[in-house]
Amino acid sequence: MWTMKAATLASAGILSGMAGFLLRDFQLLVLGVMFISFLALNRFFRPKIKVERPIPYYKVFEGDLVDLYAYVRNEGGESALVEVYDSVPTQMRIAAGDNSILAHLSPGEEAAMAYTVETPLRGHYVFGPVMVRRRDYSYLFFDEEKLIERGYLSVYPRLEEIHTTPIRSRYMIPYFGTIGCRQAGLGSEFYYIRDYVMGDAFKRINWKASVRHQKWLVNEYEKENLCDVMVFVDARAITGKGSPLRNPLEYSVKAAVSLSTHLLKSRNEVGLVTYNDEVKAIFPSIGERQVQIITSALVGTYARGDIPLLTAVELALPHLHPRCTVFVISSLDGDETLVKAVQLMRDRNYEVIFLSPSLLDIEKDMVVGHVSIRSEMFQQERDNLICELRARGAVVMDWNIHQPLYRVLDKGGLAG
Amino acid sequence: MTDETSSAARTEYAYLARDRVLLLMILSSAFLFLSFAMNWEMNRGSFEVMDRSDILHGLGTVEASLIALAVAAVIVALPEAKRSLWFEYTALHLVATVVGVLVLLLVVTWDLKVFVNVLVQTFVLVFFSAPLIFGLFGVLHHRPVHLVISAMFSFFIAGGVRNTAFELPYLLLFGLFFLLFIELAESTVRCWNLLDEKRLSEQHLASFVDHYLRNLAIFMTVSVVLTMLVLNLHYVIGALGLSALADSVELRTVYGQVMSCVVVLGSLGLLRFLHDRGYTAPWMARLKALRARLTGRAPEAGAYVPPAEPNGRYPTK
Repeated sequence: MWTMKAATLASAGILSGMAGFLLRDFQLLVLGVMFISFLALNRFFRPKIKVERPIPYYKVFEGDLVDLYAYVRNEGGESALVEVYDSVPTQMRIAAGDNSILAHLSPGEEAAMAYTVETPLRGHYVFGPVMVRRRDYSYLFFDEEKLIERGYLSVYPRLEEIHTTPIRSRYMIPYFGTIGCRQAGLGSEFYYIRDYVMGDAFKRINWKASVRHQKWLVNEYEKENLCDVMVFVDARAITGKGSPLRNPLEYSVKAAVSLSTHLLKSRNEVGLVTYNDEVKAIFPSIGERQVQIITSALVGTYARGDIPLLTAVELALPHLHPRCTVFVISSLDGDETLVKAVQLMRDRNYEVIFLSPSLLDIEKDMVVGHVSIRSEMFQQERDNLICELRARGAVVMDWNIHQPLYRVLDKGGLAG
Repeated sequence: MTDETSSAARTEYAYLARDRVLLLMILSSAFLFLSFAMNWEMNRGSFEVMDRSDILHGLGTVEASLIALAVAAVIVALPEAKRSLWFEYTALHLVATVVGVLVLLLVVTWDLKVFVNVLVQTFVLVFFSAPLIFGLFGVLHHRPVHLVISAMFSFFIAGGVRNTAFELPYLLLFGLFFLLFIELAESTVRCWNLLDEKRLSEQHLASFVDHYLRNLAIFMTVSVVLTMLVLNLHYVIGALGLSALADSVELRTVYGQVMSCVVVLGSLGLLRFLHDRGYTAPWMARLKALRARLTGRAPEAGAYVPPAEPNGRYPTK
């Protein structure tokens, strides 16, 4: 390709030559011919350049810094002036260094480019391709080449701290676990005190209470079993409203990853359903591998489409275990089918829990100044919807995003 | 390498790079002056105003060029000089200075006709110094726009005179100096910016300038030879014993020379066009293979080898 300098020289040469020809001025003609000769002769070469850009990690967490290096090597037989530019995803920020390098390389010489990127947003990212621009010494011509030197990096959301989960299902898997099931039995959490009956273990006698009431009393504990949980994550286009870093979907993904990891570490079976422009389901399973599968699926979830919860539930129903707990993480905005979906799930004896990061809270933070009446009306509508969902038997946790997730989960909703 | 050693090496490279850029600056200024002097030499006395000028009429090349250089140097140095004053030099001061000089000149000459004549001659001197003024300003203050203005002034002065003289060596020399000035001045500004913005390391910049100067010398020489060849194509064809052919296509005339320029340079341009798009790669590879065979060296690894039949013979079709 031609640079502006080459184009200027060519224009000046042609104009000068034509003027010399028309005016019969040999001086201008000579000038024009010299310009064009210089242009025509300049650099017939194409140096061989090799670029290597290894990516040291393939998985990092949000906010981590990643050091990247690129090595440029002149493998040709003559020196070359090369410019190398590495494409960085727009969601990332270069914290230090530069992702381009201009170097004059003798044959066999190598130059290194080093820079650090900050990864503020979760997702699967592709680095590259690496662009190489070769120039001649007079900056008259250059050619660009895309070297297929791609690198892949997954940015995982940071896990939030979780102490307890608000799941209190009456229909548990009959294996010992950590989820309380509102029945007396084997467990670690105190449930109530009852009279001693023959056969009770002595270690369960509550000595202080027995002395106080002058009869034998024993402690009863809440039965703790395993349970199946299906996490529904709302990823419709509306959940992407707000800023790229602060929107309901980002909060939902963080909550879903943290909750799934917490439940899976307690040996529960957890599955995942995301719904945006399609419904994707991961069947409930256990173990570390399931943590990886769910996290990876959530990292690649983006806000788009407008499939409502009812459709997602109808499509996922065949995959749900009977009487399992359904954990829906949604901002509850722009979905007319929420009540019907809850009704459907309750009819089929599923325990329904909603965790709702509020889009209104996010927007209020972004808007400077007085909160409008329209916003208050939306808040009122949201409160009404939450009341209606609770009335249908769902547990709804309204998540004020200024509060940490564990605080919301500890509170566990107001009604159910 | 310890920190102290690497720091010393970096400082050394920094000095080296700065020296190289200064070398470019001096070279470009020198070629600017030479092209100006050549232009003056060729056009001396051709301007009507010069015929009527007492000072400029009859001035030799060296004297006129030196006067113009002095005027240019003063004008270029003025912005730097006013910084050394003990007070802030404002536009009002500038107006007062100009008026004062004019009044002083009027008092010294004490004749309106002489006064106007001196003013006109000063204007002509400054006008003729314009390429030098803008060129020096562009080189010293790293302004590409001033280089373009300087080149435009040179063109204007070169084209302002209908030069009927056919002295090809002079003209070629002027063209060479002019092109060298433009090229070197632009590279000076570019290298200064690279050094200033630290886009290219000092080590690489010094190495780049060295290679650049070597390449420039080669390509400028080849350009001059090519220009001479193109403009004197009828001699070349005559030397090959085809002078009748050269005469039949009227190569000796201006039209013939222009046509030979178009054909030769157009062919080179077409070759470059094909080369950029990779059409010449197989031919270059064949040439390399031929050279390797003639010199007895093994072809380079990965080099293009023409397809051969199993028995070692090349295909006949």
